[in-house]
Amino acid sequence: MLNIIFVKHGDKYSAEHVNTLHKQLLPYYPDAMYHCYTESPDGINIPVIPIFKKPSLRKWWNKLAMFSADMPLEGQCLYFDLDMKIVSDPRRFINLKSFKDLTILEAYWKVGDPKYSIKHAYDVYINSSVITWEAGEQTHVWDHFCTNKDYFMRKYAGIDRFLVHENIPHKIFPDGLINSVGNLPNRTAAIDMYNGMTYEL
Amino acid sequence: MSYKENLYKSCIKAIENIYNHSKHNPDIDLFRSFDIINSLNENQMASKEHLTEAIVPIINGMKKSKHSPLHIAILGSWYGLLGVMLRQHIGDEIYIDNIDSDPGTKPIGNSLSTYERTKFLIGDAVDDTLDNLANYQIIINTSCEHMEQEDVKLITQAKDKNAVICFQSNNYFSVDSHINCSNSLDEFVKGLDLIEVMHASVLEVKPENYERYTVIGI
Repeated sequence: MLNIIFVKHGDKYSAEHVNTLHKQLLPYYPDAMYHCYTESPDGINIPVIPIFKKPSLRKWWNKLAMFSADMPLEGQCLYFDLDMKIVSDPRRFINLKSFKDLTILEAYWKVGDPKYSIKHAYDVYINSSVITWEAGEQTHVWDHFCTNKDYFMRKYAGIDRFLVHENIPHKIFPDGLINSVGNLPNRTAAIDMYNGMTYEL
Repeated sequence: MSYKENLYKSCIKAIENIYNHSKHNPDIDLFRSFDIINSLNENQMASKEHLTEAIVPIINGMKKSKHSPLHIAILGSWYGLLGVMLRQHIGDEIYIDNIDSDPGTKPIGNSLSTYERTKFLIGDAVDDTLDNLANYQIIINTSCEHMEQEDVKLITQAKDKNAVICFQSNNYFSVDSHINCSNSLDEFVKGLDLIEVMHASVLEVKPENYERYTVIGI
């Protein structure tokens, strides 16, 4: 069973973002189970997993709860950020092998730039806008975050940095899955990614 | 030398130690040094001084009416700044337990605060502490904005009925880890559901332009 999961917390993204992305993915994943992990189910056309009451988290930090042993998922999991447009078939980049490990995107626009490797800046060369894993196999990620969450949230600007600098083992998707519109755009890729920019749905 | 000079001196020493260790150990957490500096910044100082001014007369009043030494719990104590500040105004016989969920706070806290009867304990303010809460006559929590409201209420319910609580929160919604801010002092007071409110005040924090709320009561 393949689960496709979206996370929506707060009001930066709307139910329309969820529904639009669901529609764009449906031709490629007609048999998948779609879920939205959110505190605000109004207007969302796919099944909702209510956000955990405790620990209470804000914004993207909620993505880490997807790895919790309490997340009601079984089988393969495929996560997408909401600020994405599916341009063509992503399946050639997301294959069976991708689910064996925690698999994340490479931030191709950062690769080769040494400023991102300054040790105490805790920057990274990865991006967690698309993630795959097997449900129940990555619970250590959530468990580790919960051991000292307030410190991690002070130390790291987001979950990408947490994953890398807390030495969470991961692999990266083959190149070509993503075009980052705000960085080095206009490459041919299966998905356009807007990284928090405003764009037309 | 004033206690503040001592504190800053110890803080510089702690940062020096982190730097020196990082020369030989690539796993040393360099962010820890920034976190220590942050814990003693101007806003932290002002906020803790505001609380100290409000609670010290109450502690001293309780001392007179109690024969055995008071026990104070400081929840979410970070590196123990508030404990050091309180120690300047209350007697050495009073016990202060600094309790924080971050294991990194204990060794640093011990190096910044060398007072007797001051301890650093690692644990969650609710999951690890609730059973022992009845042993404290004063319970301080300077960061209710970081805790679920349900947990804040659990603390007020688990304490000894005569124990005084002194809680702070704020309306600084823009910080990711602030999951339980209050819109106003009034909202914060109401959420605590105390039998008696002994003190309630607002501290304006600039340049961030937010308010810090302090409430003391039973």
